[in-house]
Amino acid sequence: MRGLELLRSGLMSLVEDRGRFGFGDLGITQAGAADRYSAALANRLLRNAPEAPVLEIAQGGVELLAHVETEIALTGAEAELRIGGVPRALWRTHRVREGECIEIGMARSGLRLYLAVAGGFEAPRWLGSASVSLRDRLGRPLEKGDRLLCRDLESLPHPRSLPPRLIPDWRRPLTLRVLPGAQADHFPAESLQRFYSESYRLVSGDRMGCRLAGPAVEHDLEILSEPIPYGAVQIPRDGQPIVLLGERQTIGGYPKVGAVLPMDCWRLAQAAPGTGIRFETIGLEEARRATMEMERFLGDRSEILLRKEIVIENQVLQIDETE
Amino acid sequence: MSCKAVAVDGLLLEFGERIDPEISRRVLSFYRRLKELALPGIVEIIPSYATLYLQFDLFHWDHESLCRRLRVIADSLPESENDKGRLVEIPVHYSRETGPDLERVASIHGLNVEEVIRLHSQREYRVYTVGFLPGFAYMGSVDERIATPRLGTPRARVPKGSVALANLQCAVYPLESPGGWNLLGRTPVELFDPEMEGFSLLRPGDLVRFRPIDREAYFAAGGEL
Repeated sequence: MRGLELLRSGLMSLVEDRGRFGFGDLGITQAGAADRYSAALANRLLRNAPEAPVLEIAQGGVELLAHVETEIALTGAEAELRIGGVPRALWRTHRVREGECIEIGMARSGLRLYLAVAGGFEAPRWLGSASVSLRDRLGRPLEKGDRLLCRDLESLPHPRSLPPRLIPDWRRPLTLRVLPGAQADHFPAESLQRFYSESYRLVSGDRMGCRLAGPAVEHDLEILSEPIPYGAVQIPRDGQPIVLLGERQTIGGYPKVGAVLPMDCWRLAQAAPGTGIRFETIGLEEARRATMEMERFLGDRSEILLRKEIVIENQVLQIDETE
Repeated sequence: MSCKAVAVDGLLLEFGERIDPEISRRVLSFYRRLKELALPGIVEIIPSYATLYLQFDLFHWDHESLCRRLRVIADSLPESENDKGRLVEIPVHYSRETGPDLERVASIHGLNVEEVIRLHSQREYRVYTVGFLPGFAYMGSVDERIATPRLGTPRARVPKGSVALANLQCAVYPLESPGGWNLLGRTPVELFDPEMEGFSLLRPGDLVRFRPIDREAYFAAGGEL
């Protein structure tokens, strides 16, 4: 079996694609890569379909042995990467030879790394998606000795990298853009004012959602359980916001001030506990425009916004920035 | 029916603000109609008690165009459509072994265990919504004579197949999970299986009847303790 063998599996390594859609009415969560920006760009660098399965590695600390000749790209959190013992850059494609080890160090900033392989991993699928969903008991975290299947590469394309300005800085405090939701008008005006003017701190987070702490967003609203959009900002009785991500429950009964834009949720999924977070409102038209622009960028298969590189005797020459 | 933008690619349709069979009937008949129509560019259609959520493809719809389309569809729905939900029968072994709260529920209401079983199994329930776990169907309404609040402290481990009660609602746990509902018995049938046709035994709008079975029948059907 050709593929990559896990020698060290790290804290939690999951195969994820874009997510599982269309089964929310059966209580099935969407799951999917928590930081779709990094996951989609790992695929784009390798000319994969944007929804090809990648490995989502929580906090790094993973080692893989190649039983295949291929090309990989590692994106997401900042960490050390070595291939065959040689330090290599993230956000760039690399050749991997059979017998070489891919060593991924611990994340220095950001939380999740995305490893993609040329052609994508061949992973089991459930209900149309390869995304592992711990909530739904679909799949499981990878363990030492597991093998991620992939095909040998027939020809070796030019290495490609992402221009540095497109690589996120995970250390920055975040401002999350919120589209006001169904109950937004029912919150007391002072509470909303506080929510949008004060600073919050990320307490803890996982693939389901992130808990924040800060000045309480007080309310006495009671609602019936209703479906929960991606990015929904729920306010429980204690007034401390919870932002729900891909592996959230499908319905829930806490009132919501609104929903964080998807691309801002991806950034939140990379934020370490303690990160400062502010919220600002965004109008529907502006939210729509920004989201469509991001989707076009991630889905675009052309060379634009990637940097072609030619390697001559280990010297990397960046020949053109096609922009 | 109100139609609100609640996410950049999401609309929430609101039909009311109560758990009410009539409001739920309207939500579920609209849900079924949208599932049949299978409009292009619709990513999710999720019903709850009084709301219906749609996630859509931004490159296919915007909130306004989708709301407009939904209103046209709503206007063409018959005012009082007959219930078209499937009737699903679920065999249940009600016992102390499989339903650790059975006796407590009986004593709270001054009933004996047989009466609790009879009151729970003689009704037809409606699946209002599915959530919490894959295939976990929130059903109502339970006979008020056995309606019992959730446990003060949830159990760390509720066995798969447990048939449970909380206030006026009942449900079956499709998977082992933590849970605070009162456990009356257990079914040997699969509620959720990614290999199964339709994946989930119960879907929103279904009608459900619980049929009591004895210990022998429970084991014969693959039930476990």
